Amino acid sequence: MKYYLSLAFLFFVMNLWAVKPTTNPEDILQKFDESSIIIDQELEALQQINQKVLEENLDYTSLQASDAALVNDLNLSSSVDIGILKGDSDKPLGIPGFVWGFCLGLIGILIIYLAMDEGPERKKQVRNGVYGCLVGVLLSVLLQVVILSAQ
Amino acid sequence: MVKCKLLLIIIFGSAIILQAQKFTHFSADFSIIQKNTLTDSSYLIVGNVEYDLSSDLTHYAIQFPEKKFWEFKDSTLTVYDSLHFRESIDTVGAIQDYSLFRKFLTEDFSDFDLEREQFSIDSVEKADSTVLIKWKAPPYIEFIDVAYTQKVKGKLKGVIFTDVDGKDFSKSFFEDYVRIHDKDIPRKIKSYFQGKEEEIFRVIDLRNIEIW
Repeated sequence: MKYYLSLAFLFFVMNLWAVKPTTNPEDILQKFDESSIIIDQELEALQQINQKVLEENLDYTSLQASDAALVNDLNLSSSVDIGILKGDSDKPLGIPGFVWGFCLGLIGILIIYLAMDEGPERKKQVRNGVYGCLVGVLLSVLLQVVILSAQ
Repeated sequence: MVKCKLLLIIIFGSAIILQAQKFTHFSADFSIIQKNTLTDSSYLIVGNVEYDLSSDLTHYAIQFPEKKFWEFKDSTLTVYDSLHFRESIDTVGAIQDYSLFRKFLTEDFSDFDLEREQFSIDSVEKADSTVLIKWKAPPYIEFIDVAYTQKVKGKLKGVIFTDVDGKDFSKSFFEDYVRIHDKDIPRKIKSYFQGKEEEIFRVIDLRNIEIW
């Protein structure tokens, strides 16, 4: 029993040590150097492409013709995406999915589905649209009941 | 005598204003390379950028992967096609406030503008030519706990932001400095961002830098 308790205590202490962020200045300075190297490593293939584009003054079509495998492997974009700069780019016209569903019902959900790229954000907005649609239907039913009971 | 003093004040005052507004334009050729682990996609954008401090206008002339023109002014981004016909206008928020080019031209770059953002110095460690500063985030920025800046020989080498869970979610590194007039400008800016599901690696290379 004592053995298991000691093991549990050791495990607890090791966990504490593992999650504690480092505040040692030398460790932090090392983190600066290592992180910079990791970024270089992650982008090494893209740097090669960059050099080639600059040296040979290539456009996207020429690059794709000469280095098709690399371009496909990297999934290199053929257009300039400004999506990350736009406010509320993760919702159609910046309007939340719930509002689309609430106001336009099934058509609203369809708009969300067609307007957004496939991915977790589309799923989330479609789900919110369904909730909006349900709340809209419930409210209209409730309103009808209230009106009918008042007559 | 009074006239003479006034004249001196005007002359010195003008000199100070001229000194403060000495450089108002930044121009460079650039390459941006970026990789996003969530979408498994990458970007290479090559072109030229010009920044005008007096009108706070940033103009990008993009050559690769397609010819486009971007203009950032206040909180709007206007996109023009290759023939300079307007394609779209979007609201992008106050990103001009965080423009690196503005920081290059003003004196805010040495501490990444953290002091202006109300970060407070928690500790300073010095060793040889390196200075490591730990900054505490202001209470209004709830998700950031601390930031670390590293300066080598007085030049900002990097900044790391740590969230309240101790995760280094944003890192930027400034390398390969060149001195133009009295300004030290980094020619390589590396950055890393870790979101909930994605990691973004980015390098900006600047070439043929001019300021005037």
